[in-house]
Formats: sequence, structure tokens, C-alpha cells
Amino acid sequence: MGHFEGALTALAHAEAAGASEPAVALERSGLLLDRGDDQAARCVLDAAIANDPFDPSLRRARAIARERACDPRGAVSDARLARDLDPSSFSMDDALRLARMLEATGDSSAAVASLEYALEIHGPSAILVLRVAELELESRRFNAALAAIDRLQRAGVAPFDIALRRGEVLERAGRSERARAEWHEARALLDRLPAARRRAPAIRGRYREVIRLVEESDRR
Amino acid sequence: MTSRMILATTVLAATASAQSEQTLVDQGSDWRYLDAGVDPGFLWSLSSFNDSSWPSGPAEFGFGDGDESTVVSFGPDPSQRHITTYFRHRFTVPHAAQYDAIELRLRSDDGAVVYLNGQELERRNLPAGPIAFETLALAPVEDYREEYGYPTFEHALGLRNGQNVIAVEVHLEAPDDLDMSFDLELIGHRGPSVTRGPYVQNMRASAATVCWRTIVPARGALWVGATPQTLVQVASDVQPRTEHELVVSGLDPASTYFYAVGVAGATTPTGSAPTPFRTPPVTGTREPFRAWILGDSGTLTYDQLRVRDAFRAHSAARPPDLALLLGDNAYREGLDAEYQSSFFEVYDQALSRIPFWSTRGNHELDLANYLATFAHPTAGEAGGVASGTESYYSFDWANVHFLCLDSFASDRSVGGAMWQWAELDLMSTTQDWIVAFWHHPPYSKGSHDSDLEYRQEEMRMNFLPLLEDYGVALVLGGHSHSYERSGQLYGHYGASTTFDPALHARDFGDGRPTGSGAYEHTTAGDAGAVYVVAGSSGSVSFGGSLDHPVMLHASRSLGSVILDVSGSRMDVTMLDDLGDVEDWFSIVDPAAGATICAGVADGEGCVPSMSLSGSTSLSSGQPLTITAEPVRANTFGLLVYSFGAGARSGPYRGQLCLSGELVRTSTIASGGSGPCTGRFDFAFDSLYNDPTHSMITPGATVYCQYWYRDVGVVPSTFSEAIWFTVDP
Repeated sequence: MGHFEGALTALAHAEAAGASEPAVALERSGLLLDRGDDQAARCVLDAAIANDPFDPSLRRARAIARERACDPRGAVSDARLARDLDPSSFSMDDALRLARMLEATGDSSAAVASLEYALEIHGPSAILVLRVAELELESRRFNAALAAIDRLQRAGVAPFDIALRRGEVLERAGRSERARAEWHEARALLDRLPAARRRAPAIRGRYREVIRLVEESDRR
Repeated sequence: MTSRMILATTVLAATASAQSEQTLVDQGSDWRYLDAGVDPGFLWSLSSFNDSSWPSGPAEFGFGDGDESTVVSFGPDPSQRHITTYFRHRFTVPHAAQYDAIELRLRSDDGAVVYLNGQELERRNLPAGPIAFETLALAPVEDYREEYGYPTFEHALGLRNGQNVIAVEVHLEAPDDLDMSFDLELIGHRGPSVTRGPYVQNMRASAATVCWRTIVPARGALWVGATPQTLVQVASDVQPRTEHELVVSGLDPASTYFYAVGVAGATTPTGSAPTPFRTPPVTGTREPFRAWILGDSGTLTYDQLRVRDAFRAHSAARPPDLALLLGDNAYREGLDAEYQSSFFEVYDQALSRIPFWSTRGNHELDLANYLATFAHPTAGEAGGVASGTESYYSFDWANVHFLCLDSFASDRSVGGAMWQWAELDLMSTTQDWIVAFWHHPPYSKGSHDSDLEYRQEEMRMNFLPLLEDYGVALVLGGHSHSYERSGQLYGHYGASTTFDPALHARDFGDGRPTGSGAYEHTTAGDAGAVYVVAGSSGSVSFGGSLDHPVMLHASRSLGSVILDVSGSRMDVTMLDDLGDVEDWFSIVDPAAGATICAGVADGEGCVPSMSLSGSTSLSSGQPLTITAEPVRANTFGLLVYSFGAGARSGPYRGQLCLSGELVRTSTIASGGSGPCTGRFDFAFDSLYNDPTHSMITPGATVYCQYWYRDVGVVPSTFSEAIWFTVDP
């Protein structure tokens, strides 16, 4: 808390010098959010946006504040405006956050659409495609989920992970035999990894997971 | 060059650019000047101003340095020197319209404003707004900046046919400033002269990006060839532009090419001389390479230059293949002009030949300029997983996977976009080595304390577990303007006070094969990584205690770091600004099948080598054979194995070098029918289902040696040892 108090004191001086500066408002609201004072952060941002309605940074910050205040629609409104005001500063985190906000409004199709729009801005991004696949799977749009997973391969994601994820989608879709084949494929791909990589703890964990899936599916 | 790249067979003679510029005002020209300590009034910069009463003399002007051609007066009181001295020079331009741009090379100590025919052309080291006689420069200017002040380029619209006047006011930084200097060169440019680069980026085994800047928009073009005499145009801009970024593809791995730039439609490249670059080898290839690592370099000081020159001299016989920038490449804000002076002007030779891969530091405040300066992979094209952003990315070089994270501006939380991407990326690489780099070091007690700064804390707490889980061997950071280097660490994510060597230090020796031994890195679970803070390539800071307990070496030495990779070994060297080796260590990867503990010739003169064949996977059902050959013919021996580390230190020539509980197999015969024609083969997989050998489980590291009956003074001997890890 000592850091916060010191920072807030410093900000008070900055505000005295330029209270309407968006950067000052952003710093103050960020500190207030970190301290858990969401209401005060929101007030700071509202005032700053009233002064400068087209600053994407302020809109982005208020979207976060609104999301934390369980106001997903307001959050989406600010996040979209921030993106449209300055697409070049629309980061991966912003893209995932906007999708999450849209999901919170119950509109997973809009979430997928926002991710696809972000992919148009950024070009291929494995994590955005991965989120598309997850959203499609959660919505039981299995073919769309599989299509998204196939795009992951083009983004450079490990083939064994692709097969593992495909197996999960197929299993959820009730295509157990195809899922089993995918998991066998995942195991074969893991077998072909260089020994040094297979020994990495995280890869060993994946290996165990795949072997469990293979054994379970073989038993059925 | 492959046939795919050869679009035409025309052999082009490459020529350098030079014909499109003309000096308008030379260094050492005569100027009129006013050093009387008075304000000449606001009209003094206009071309119509009457300066006939001002004295004249040749540049360089100034006082205090001893190299002036014309010494100007600073007044009678050394503690209250004239703040401002004024200069005017007339020059004639017959056809102003022929120039597209003018280049200004200004030498000024300290601040200066330059006017062309009354219009402000350039302001350096002075505040914004009106400038008065008493206005002080913002900061003192070091000799280096004074001497090599970066060129600036302006449109030539201010030039007139006939007589022109350039006027300059030079301001001291303080009334008792000891020195002042001024000289100026003005060059007129016709056509799209190159004002930055060209430089190579995003180098891959089969492609490379070439970037450069022209003074006026033009359709740039790129020529590439296997020799300087066989350049072929391979790419060109669609639209005229000043910032050019063209890709050549279809290159062969591990091959040297030459390139030059020019304008589309021309038959020869006139923008640069042919310059070589070398593509990396095929990904995964264990071909040696060298990386030059610079941290916090962009100070534009003699310190920065000394570090650069020390490395140049050290690496003259073995130049680097690539460079890593650990951020803060151009102080104070990473602005375009700062990058021009502190980066492009300083490293121009290296930039033209090898790719510089950068992470963003806290002084790269101008994100747009940072992103425009570098062309980093975003789509996984250099070997990693597509990040969709140049802020964090990865690339492969030979058998190393480099992971670049953004500790400054991206979300550093677990589950954030960068974290998720890093996990996918680390999961997907199949390279022997992984080296990670970012700006804010997870461990430092230099000018930035990793116990206090939240970015450093978050990188340590959130990312180190992930990196360890995937077997990262070396982590590089900057930010603190010092050199600090840890032992081999694992599992330490808290503040420095929580470091427990018994828990967190995997190897706290010096990491030197000639000392306590190289660090051994395996991805078998807990090998950990070595952490290097290399933020002293541009300056050192006297802040910080430099006593972080994980660090084995810490100093306030200027320098850069050299990473030499050769297959299963990485050598890391800190070279100081005098060219002396400040510190060094090695990390070796005794990958499956690696041998240790050299054997000796047996009584028959045979020196057996150990090898593995088959699969180390328990579940694969495949055989695993451990072989020693050549050995004496018709003798007998057995295989001895054990588990655990500690068995590998020290020289054990011809002796047992395993430790812990030894397990031995039944005896086997060597066979053969003559000297050194015998061999031992043991089917290690035959032990898998034997309860006697139940400790052979996935993840176990097994060390093996053959013992066999020998002749001579010592009637038995041991082979070298081999080790491997049992896979699931």
C-alpha cells in the first residue's frame, strides 16, 4: 500500500500541473483500480472522457473499470470505441478482453466476430485463433471449432497439441472413434519429438495426458 | 542463390550512391558571428538582416576545447559567460528546385537553433517555444555528441534561387560552461537518397527483410545476388514511400548473399553499395553461431562506442551472426531522431549485415517508432508460433529457439495474451536450446531492484515457472545498468530474501569447464536456467547494491555479452569496454546418448566408445541397446548403471565414475577375432519388466559404464560412461 500512497502523492502533483491530461487520468485510475477503489477510478475516467471523448486509452481504461463493475454492455461499448478509434493500438490483450466482455453479454457469436476482426488487424495470432476455437466448442459449433484448430497448425502450434485438441472436439461431438484416432496420432507425434523436448516437465505432463486419453478410449 | 530467386540472369554492375548530393555549406566555412553578449533583436535570422558589422572567421567556432579555428569571446567573467553566440553565413544556390531535400550536419555545444532564410530549420537541445538570449540549453553535450551529432533531413522547400542565408544561435547549458563549439555542413539531395540503412531484419533460413529510408518518397527496390557482380532485382514497392521494407525469399540456408537497394525501374541499385549477409542454417542444425547481446545501449556516449569497438576488435576474426537488443536502444524516449543517432549511426556496419532482434525497454516510449524501426516476426515465419504482434515473438537460429517477451507494456499476468502465447510457443518448439530475453530482469540488485519494481516481480513470479517447465536454459535481461550473472537456478520466484541455495540453486559453481564444470542443462525436470543482466552496454549506474544472492558475479563494468553456440554447448562471455573478458561460463546439454568420464586404452590398446541405439521410451515397445566398441576380443564384462547426479564430476579415466547404488547386469562376452574387434551390446529394455530393476521409471536418469576383464598391470578397466533419461 505504501507504493500506492507514494504514487498517488506524485500524481497529485502531476494533476496540479495538468489535471485534464489523459495520461494523468489514466495513471490515477489505474492506481485506484489496483487499490480496489473501482468507483473512484470510474469517476476519474468519466471526467476525463467528458473532457476528451475520443481518446482510445481512456475508453480502454473505462472498459476495464466497467467490466469490473459488472457492466458488460458498457464495457463492450467503450472497448469497441477504443478499438475503432485506434486499431493500431488494439493489442492482443484488448482483443481477448473485448471477446470476454461480449461473452459476458451472452453473445458468443459476437465474441467470435470480434476475434476474427482482431485477426484481420493483426494477422495470424495463435492465441486469438485458439480463443475462437474454444468459443466455438463452448457453443457446440463443432465443425467451426475444428476449422479454427486447423488454423492453429498454420500458426505454428505443435502438431501433437492440434491432434489433442481435435480429439477433444470430436469426443464432445460424440465422434469417439475419430477422437481416439486423433489421440493415437497425438501420442505418435509426441513419440517423434526429440528426446530432449519430451523430457521437459510440461511436455511430459502432456504426454501423460495423451496416454491416459489413449488408454481410456482404447478401453471403451 | 536458388533458381527460385533468380528472376532474370542479367548481370548488373552495382554502384554506390553519391552522385545525387551536393555540399551547399562546407565544414570550416567562413561565417559572420556576434559574440559580444548582446541580443541582436528578432530580425537577425532573416536574409535581409545587415550583418556587415559582425566579425567573420572560419569554423569551427567556440572556446574551451582547443580545437577551434576561431575562438569566440565569452565575456570578461568566466562565471557569467555570454549565454548565446550568433552566426550567419551566405551561400548561393543556382537552381533550388533541383533539390528534393537538404541534410543538416550540425556540431553544436550545447543547444542550437538553425534558421534558413529566417525559417527555423532545426532546434537541438533547447526548449520548445520562444528562445531568448538568456535561454539555457537543456543539458550539457558530451564531446561525442558534439563531434558526431546526427544528421537531420528536411525538405528543400526553404531553399531559394540565388542567395540564401543560414543563421544559427548557439546557447550554453550554464553561465559557467567551460566549452562551446559550432560548425555546420549543409548538403543538398537530389532524388531519393538513402538516409537510413539499408539494414537486414527478420532473417530466416530462406528469407530476409531489408529496410531503409529515403529522403523523399520513391518506389524502392531490392537487389540480391550471390556475388556483388550478380545482383538481381527481387522486390519493389508498389507505392512510393520513404520507409521501405522489402522481403527476399527463396534463399538457401547457411549461404552468403549480397544486397543493395535503389529505386524500382532502375537497372542498377544506386541507393547502397553491395553488402553481404548470411542466412542461418536449417532450423535444428547444430552449426556454430555467435550472437552479440547489447543491453541499454542507446546513450550516444563514448561509453557506448567503447563497448561497440571492444566487441568489434574482439570479434574481428569471428563476427557475429545476429544481435539481441535487450531494450532501451535509444535514450531518452526512443524517438525517431534518437534512434537515428544512438542506434543507426552507431551500429550501422553491423546493422547492414546481421539482423538485430529487439525487445522493448522502458525508454522505448514511442511505440509507433519502435514498431516501424524493426521488422520482427508476427506470423511465426521465423520459426515460432504466430504472436500477431512485434512486441513479443520468437525465432529459431540453428538449434536454438529464441523467445522474446515484452516486460514493459504487455500484460505480464498468468493467462494474459503474452503468457498464453509463450506457453503455446514453448510447447511447440523442438529445438535443442531455448534462450529467453526481455528488458526487466527477474533478479537484479543493480540500478533496478527486482524486489521493488513490479515489472521485474511479475516477470519472475509469472513467467519463470512457465519457462522452467519448458526447459529454458538461459534468460537475458537489461534495465539495470550493470552486469550480473547467476548460477543455475530453479524454482525461486520470491524476493531475494527467500532465496535458499539448497532449494533453488541447481549448480552454484562458476559454470566453467576449467573450474567447477560447465552447467549441465537437461530438460529432465529441474535443470533450471542461468540469468544474466546485461544492461551496461551504454553506461553504468552506481545505484544498487549488486548483492542479489542468486548472482555469482556482479559488477559495474561497461560491456556487452557474447553468446557462442556450438551444438550441445553454449558459451556466454561478458566482454568489457576495454576488450577484456569480465566473466564467462558454459552451459552444456548432455542430451540422451551424451558420454561422460573419458575412457582409456585397455591393455590391448582399444579405447571403447559408448553409444545408444533404439528408443529410450518405456512405452514404445522398441529396443534400447547400449554398446561399447571396440574392446578386446574374447573377454567378458558387464554393464553397471546407477541413478542420480553427482556421479559426473571429476576425471575418471578408466575408472568407475558412477555413484549411488550400483546395479550390474549379468556378464556378457565381447566376441571378436583379433585385436580390438570385440564389442559389448546390452539390451537395456530387457530390464524394464524385471522387478529387480524397478527404479527404471519415466523421468529417471540412468548412467551406464561397461566394466570388463583386461590384461596388463590392472586386470580390469571401465569404458567411458553414457547417460540418458527414461521417457514415458
